[in-house]
Amino acid sequence: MADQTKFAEDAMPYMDQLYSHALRLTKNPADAEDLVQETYLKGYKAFANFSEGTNLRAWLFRILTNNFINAYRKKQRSFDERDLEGIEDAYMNKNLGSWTQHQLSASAEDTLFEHLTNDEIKEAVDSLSTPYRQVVLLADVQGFSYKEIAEILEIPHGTVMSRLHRARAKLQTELLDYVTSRRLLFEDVETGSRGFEPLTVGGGD
Amino acid sequence: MWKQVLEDSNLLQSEEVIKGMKLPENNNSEEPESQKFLLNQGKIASPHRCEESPQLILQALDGIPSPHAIQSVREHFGTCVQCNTALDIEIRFKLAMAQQVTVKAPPSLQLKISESLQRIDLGDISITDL
Repeated sequence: MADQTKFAEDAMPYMDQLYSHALRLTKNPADAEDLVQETYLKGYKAFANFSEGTNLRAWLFRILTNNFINAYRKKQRSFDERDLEGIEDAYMNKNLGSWTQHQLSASAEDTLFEHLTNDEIKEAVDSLSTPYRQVVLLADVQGFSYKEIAEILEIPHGTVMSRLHRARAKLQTELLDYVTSRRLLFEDVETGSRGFEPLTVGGGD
Repeated sequence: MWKQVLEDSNLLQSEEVIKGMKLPENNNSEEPESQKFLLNQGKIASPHRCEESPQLILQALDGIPSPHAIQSVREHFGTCVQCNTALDIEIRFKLAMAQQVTVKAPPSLQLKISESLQRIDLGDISITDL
């Protein structure tokens, strides 16, 4: 059992991480502030039940996630989430990522990552539906393990992995399409492979 | 931590690639079970089957990736170009995501929360009101 008087000292260092995550979930600074404030107040209230020595960071993220679901999504549980539940536990997608399906060459892979900016990756992640976005952000931005994510989101471990796999596949497809549309990569219609097309100035011959 | 992962996994051999990256240090998360599984397995069951690769890649990249877990999967993939490329891309994507900047909470929010907690401590508001 944790000492409630120590709550502020222990929990305040995580505020930036919580705020950053809240902002990515709500996409609105005012809502993110409300969400974080509510998280701290509820955390304080429940801190007596927190087992000292366990993972406070994950515990705070769990409270934040619950608040987010209750406050922002209860009334409009999106149908994309209902769709997800039916299909994601059935099986792991056995295909490798979209990029490898298109036989991305090593040089094209380098080119792809060189040309993608943080903003473009952020935009692609933001376009994911909430259940996918949450898992990607917790796993790849916050660095939580799948077990911790399962506890934070209160979903089975296997569901974390299947959501992450599907989310990454979707992100890869979107980012690849984006880069291809900017003609940074060309697609060889005959072989289906994608390679690097150096940007040229002028018409050539 | 991340730089160590990249160096040990031989993924990004160019100094240019990792130069200037803002990578997260270790957080207080537990050592992921998936990686323990991979390491305890020693050599993952042979022969390599491509359809098992997504599962192995996910396990290798659980939490803050362990260079040894990545190496273990890479050895299992052997000369399979497609699976090695899939692993490389997943690492690079995870790395790109890990570099996403943490947005600092506004000072006004910190103040507001500190004040609320103090008011509770002083008894101005009851904990049951929360």
